[in-house]
Amino acid sequence: MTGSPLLDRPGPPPATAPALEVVGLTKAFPGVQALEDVSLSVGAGEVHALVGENGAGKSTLIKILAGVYQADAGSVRLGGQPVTIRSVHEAHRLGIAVIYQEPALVSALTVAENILLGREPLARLRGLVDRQALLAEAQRILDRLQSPLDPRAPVAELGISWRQVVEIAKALSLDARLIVMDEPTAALTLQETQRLFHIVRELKAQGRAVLFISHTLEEVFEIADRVTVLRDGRLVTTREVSGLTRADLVRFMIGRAVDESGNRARPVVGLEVLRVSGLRRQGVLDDVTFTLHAGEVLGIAGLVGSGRTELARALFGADPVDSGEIWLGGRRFDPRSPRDALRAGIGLVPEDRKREGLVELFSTAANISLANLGAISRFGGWIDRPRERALAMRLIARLSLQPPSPEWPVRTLSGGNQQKAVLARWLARDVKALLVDEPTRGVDVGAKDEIYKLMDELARAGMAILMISSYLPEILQMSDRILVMQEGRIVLELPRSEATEERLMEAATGGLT
Amino acid sequence: MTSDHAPAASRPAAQGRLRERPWTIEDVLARFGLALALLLLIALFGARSRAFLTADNALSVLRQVSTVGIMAVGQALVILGGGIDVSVGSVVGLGGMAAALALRDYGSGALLAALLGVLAGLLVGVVNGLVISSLRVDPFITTLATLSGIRGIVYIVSNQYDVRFPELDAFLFFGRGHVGPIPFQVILLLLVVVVAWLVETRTAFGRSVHALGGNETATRLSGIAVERVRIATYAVSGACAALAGVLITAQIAIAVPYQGNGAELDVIAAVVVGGVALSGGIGSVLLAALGALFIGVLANGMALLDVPSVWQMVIKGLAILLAVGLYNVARTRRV
Repeated sequence: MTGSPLLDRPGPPPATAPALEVVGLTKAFPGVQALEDVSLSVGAGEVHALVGENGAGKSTLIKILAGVYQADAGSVRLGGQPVTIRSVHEAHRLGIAVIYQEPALVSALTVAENILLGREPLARLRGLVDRQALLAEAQRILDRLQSPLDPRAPVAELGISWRQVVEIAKALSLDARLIVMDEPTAALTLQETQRLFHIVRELKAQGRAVLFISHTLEEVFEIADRVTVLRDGRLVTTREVSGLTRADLVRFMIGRAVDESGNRARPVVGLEVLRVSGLRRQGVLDDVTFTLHAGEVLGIAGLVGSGRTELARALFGADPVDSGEIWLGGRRFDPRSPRDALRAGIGLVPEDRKREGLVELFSTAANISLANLGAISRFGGWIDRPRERALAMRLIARLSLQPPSPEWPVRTLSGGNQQKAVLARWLARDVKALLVDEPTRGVDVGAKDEIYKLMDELARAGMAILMISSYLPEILQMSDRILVMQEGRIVLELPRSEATEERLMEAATGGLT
Repeated sequence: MTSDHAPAASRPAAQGRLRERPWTIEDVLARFGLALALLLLIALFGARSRAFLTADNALSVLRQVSTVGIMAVGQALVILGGGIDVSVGSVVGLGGMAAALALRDYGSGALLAALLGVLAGLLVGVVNGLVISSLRVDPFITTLATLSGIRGIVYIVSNQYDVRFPELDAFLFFGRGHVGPIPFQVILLLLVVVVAWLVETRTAFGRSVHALGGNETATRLSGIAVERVRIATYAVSGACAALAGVLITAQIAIAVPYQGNGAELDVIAAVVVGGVALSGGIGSVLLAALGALFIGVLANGMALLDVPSVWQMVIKGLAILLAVGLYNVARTRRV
């Protein structure tokens, strides 16, 4: 459970026909039963969370509602009326709006133009758009969301969270009765998430039904009235959130209990591995000084944009610095490229797997090999294929990566397994310091736990781990020591024993501690 | 997006039903589609034209495509690495001219002249790669600039005249010689294709090229010296284009300043017909060379069937569009 106060949560929706009712939904893909006999209902004014591990069938369910897929069997009723959703267009017409993690807006247009795209109010006589009416109408919708967004702002200049607000406004302008949000918070900072939740509550107050998909269970407890758990395409249960504990929910999701009881005390602190002193980069890093020891997990908390990621990138030689010193194993270390860092024994698991971690065209094995081409090559560059395969097999087994096949295309792996593939790359090397940036973002609960165990094992084996995370429970669970960054500076350093979510958050948002 | 979008891949394993993904029709077409289409084309022309299905004609087609084929191999490497090299047309001219000038003005031997020609092209490639890497100029713009600049240099060093040179037999052999019945150019083509294919598929360098084209950031963050890899691909492309220029010069025994004008378009067409995606990372040098052969066979067959040359151009254009369209369909349908 989070420490945050629970919000007012009315009882179950009234007994009239629910806004959405799904009965016995079934969908198979060649070789896979993606959904089997799944039923759920969402009432008007209800926020209903849908959770489950990757592959549980959440996305399939959403895509059926969105008109992207057609169900093999089962029925969908909206406000009691049976409907068939044959296309995305039809879903819109029926009042279903789906908001994806990365909104699909027209960047070149303004907020107002996007909200009313294709339905612009026209000026009299000529077929021109009535700009005044367009702005007024968009403003009216944004007001209903109590959003400060300027309807004249170009969408290209908005961050993801604001784009989501635009999508939601668009859904409102279409008078959507059911708003489906597919992991809307995955790319958001804490404040942005709060802003989104504010809007979700607004939608709820207006009597709209919200189906909310999230990997972050804290959010389920904060925002949802009821929660439905899917596993392997089947319905596990639908419950009132108020009667549930986090552990219950996790057990429903993965079908077994997970040890989340915090970090198993490690024999702390070996020799100093990394010493950073006075690291500066204009506008990004400001006099960053700290040390990292063998056998230690050093957690770095802070908001997105506080310089955490940039610090890791600087240590890895991916970004330059203006001044300051880095010492690695007692020697001056001045990485000018990731190649230098790699050779010196530093590894980086980047924040954004897709963009920075994986070559999606490659197999699992080839992705693992990417940082180990020397080790699998003979005669200075001739790849020894059996050796490559053996290396991949060894790491796949060690990380219980699924599917355990080196040739499997990495883009078809789940988020957790993709993350394991990126981690595997560094386990093959003799890495002294591992920098991990958001190690469990977009990773399902079961794999999250495995990644934690792995980091723990590595630390116990003497690796120095610097872990950046926006997810405070993870910071508290994994770290031996915690640094909080804010505006490029380290504003707080604490041993885990003294850290609480509240203290970290306060420091991260600029409160004095 | 990280959630369950690929149930076909993640679910079977989760349930312990592990198997490698079975081959689909799309997989087969993506790999062997071009070879099948080539066989069909050969059958079609063979049925219509008596002259087409002869050993002489086959060798002549192979010789005709060998220069474009060699250049396609270099170009494919650049495109696999996420770049493009449109400067090759001028580099053809430069390679031939450099060799000719070495023979005429410096009394160079045949082999040395050929090597100097190839070296000139390699240097242009290095410059292309350096400019793209260090100044972060778009590859298309960079090589478009060198396309113009190098052509200018060829005109300058030749005073805009054709350059005749001492016709050493050893030099002319590069363009006209045969080993047994097989033209030397064809042997060179095969050699270039085989070596490039081995480098592409079996070496760390080849792997790095594919990775660079697939995701440059991830490749850099994996500690690969992406700039060096990139420069190397342009160097190979430049060297291949200059080699083509040397072969043409040796064949016609004269270095013409506008030699190779427009060749970049034929080369890129061949690479694309070979299924190398301009977005980088997808394809192979082997298929790029096969793409050159396909276009060569098409041109040869149409000529033997007396298709008017204007229509030949139209049909060639349609064939390129069709090939690219089919590759796209096959790729989007693959999981």
